[in-house]
Amino acid sequence: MSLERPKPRVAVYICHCGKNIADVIDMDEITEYAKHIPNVALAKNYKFMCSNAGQDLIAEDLKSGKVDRVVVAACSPLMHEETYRRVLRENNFNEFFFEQANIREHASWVNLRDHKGAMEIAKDHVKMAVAKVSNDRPLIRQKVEVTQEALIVGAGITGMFATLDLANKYKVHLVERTPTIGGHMAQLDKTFPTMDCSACITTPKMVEVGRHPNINLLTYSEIENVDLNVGNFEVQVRKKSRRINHLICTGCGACGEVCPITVPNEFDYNMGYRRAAYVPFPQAIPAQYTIDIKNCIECKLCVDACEVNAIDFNQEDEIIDLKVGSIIIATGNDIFDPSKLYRYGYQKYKNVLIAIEMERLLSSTGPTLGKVIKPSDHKTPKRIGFLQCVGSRDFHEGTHKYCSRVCCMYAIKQARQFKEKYPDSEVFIFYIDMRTFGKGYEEFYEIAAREYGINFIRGRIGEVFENNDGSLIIRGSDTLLAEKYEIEVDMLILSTAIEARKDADEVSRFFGVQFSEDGFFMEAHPKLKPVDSLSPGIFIAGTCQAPRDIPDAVAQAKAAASSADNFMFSGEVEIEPYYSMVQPEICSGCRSCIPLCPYDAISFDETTNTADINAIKCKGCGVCVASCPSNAIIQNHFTRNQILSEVRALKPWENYIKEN
Amino acid sequence: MPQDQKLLKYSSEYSDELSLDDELKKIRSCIQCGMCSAVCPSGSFTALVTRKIMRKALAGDHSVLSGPEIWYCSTCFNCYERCPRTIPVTNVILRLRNMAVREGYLPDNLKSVIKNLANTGHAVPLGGPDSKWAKLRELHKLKKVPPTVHSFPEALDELFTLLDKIKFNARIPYR
Repeated sequence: MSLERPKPRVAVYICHCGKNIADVIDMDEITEYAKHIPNVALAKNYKFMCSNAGQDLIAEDLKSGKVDRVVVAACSPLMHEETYRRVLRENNFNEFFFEQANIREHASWVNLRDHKGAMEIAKDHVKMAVAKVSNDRPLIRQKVEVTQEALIVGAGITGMFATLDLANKYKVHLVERTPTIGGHMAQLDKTFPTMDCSACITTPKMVEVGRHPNINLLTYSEIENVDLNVGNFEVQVRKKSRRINHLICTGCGACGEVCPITVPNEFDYNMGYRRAAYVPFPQAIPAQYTIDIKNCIECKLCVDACEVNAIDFNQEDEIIDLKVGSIIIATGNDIFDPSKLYRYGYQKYKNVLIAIEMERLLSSTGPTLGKVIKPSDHKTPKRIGFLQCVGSRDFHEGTHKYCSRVCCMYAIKQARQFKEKYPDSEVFIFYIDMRTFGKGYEEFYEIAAREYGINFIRGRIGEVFENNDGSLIIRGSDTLLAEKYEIEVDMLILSTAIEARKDADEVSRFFGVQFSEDGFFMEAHPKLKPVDSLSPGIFIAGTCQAPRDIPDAVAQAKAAASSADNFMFSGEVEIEPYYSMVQPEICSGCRSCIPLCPYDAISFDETTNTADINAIKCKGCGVCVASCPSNAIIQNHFTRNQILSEVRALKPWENYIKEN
Repeated sequence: MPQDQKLLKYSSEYSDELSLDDELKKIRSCIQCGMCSAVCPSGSFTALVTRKIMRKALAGDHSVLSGPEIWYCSTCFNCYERCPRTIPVTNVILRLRNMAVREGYLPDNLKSVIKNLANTGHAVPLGGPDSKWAKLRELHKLKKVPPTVHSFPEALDELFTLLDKIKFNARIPYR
């Protein structure tokens, strides 16, 4: 038996991708070219390689024994790598003897008018893929056991639904930063387009979460640290001290009554007041009081008032260690602060509000018990205006390019609510486009115009001025009539954008989740993996991923719960074998790789004085490989030799032929 | 800003009046898609832009009544037929004409029609006993003057009674 490795026999398949590639790149020419690349045993082209017929083509050739490695020149590997690997797997070949050359995104789509240039690029990609696959080594996926528990971060409507769905099967830990669950939805008065009361549909779910035997509810708690072992995430949660023993507190409210400190209530968007010993709102879950130690003067009047002696000023933060199999991130969104858009006068003019403040004014549980009043004189406004796209669809620094999706609908909803309360009032909505995209939304909009007589004016406000009496003069241009307008209103409501959480980068660091350009968390695939993050076992749902409304957030919550279930159900998970390995005989123990690892996967072995990489935590990003001064780190499937073989393939053709 | 510059001041005056009628009320759900204008035969040759008429009526812009555009409509009902929000565009224009007249706006050519009516009892009068119409009637063995207000000048008084009753002279002076 010869010890020399047999020469690789590569099969190259060129995909037309319908017309996506074939229209730009001449299929016969590139197939003919591929046949002459060293190590290529055969080359074919087909209309859709990803179809069953295309996969059968590969399977047949593999079975014939003529080839043992496969290159498919088609779309992005993100799209179909798994499809082709499965074909190799099913035919008893190691699935890592496969490379995908992306000649759609990288050659044809970007060179629609330059067919010759596209061909050059496509040829290079195919050549590189053949060189790489010729040097590929067989790899085996490791299997790891998965803990049958889940962690949900954030207890808004998304987090609550994901929790409830999973809790029927697994133990679920629900971590929430604020003293109560419920999130933004608990702050809303009514929900579009059905106009059902937000509290009436949220609170029963909150109660369910609070009572479920499988749910470990950790409110007023924050994630302290996460160890990213796929399938066995180790999470440290800091349960902040409420200064009240939650096992004893009955939520009677005696402490709040005697507390002499009043501070603005965050739940009412700082328009109402609460005490330093408080519940954010009466229906809060858990219905237990919290002492806000930042504002507390420690007069301890509450200690005497509490009949069950639940108050304990010596209570300290508690660190809870969890081990979970999967994590769903549902940390939600922040609201854009329009005070930097000085032209709209927020926080400069008294009667300019943002929509969430209007929501609290409209709410029967709000600071005014549902009476809408002007902050300037506490009288009910006669004419109000809503300005759309504040902070959205704006390319300025500090604003957002995207559409926030919900503002059109909540403005119409608030306008309708206002009209219902005050039928004699006049309501204007100043918009760029009305985007009423969901089920029943267009009908909701049409009725607002026809039956409620709300004035929709296309044209954004350019400038706002304040009169002495606090009323506002707004100027803009009606783009449908091509005429300028000037309107006096008593109150202006800014429909502010949804934006990513300000501390989202902290969350991303904990969980190794990536960002999209807009600051929200990035899904693994915009269409096909909408709730998966790039880290296996970690899922994202709700408005932390993109602006969305309640029905969409709930749908995502359920999708994420189902994905997490899918991930944990089999009890074990396969790890991609792309991880890096340290060659201890070469490692000098300089430790320069350790702080660079974004996944905290490298540790230092004191006994051998070398670095050690945890294969399960490693995501194969390659940072350590590139940084190692003594080339001691190898990354599977992307070894030095494999990558350089691709680079060498790019040499002029004649040289390349000579060398091979 | 200089005072003479024209600035829109929105008012729901016209749309409120139109909304008294359940059909005409639909104008409020106009989305300004422009389909009505696209198929308007009169709009191809005149300044009539039905889309703008709808918008101005909703905005309460006075120029919709004072301007001549609403009178260019030939009431072909093309717009009525195609409006995706089923707004009776033609009917809205007809109602706007009523409102315009009430405010005293009427184009000169139509004013002369009113004058004819006031003087002769006919919007299109025969033009006296020697007109070509009278001769034509004679040729066909008909009475020279038809048995209408032309034959009964006293009937003109009844017309004046009606017109006075609705205070028409105050709106469009015809005598």
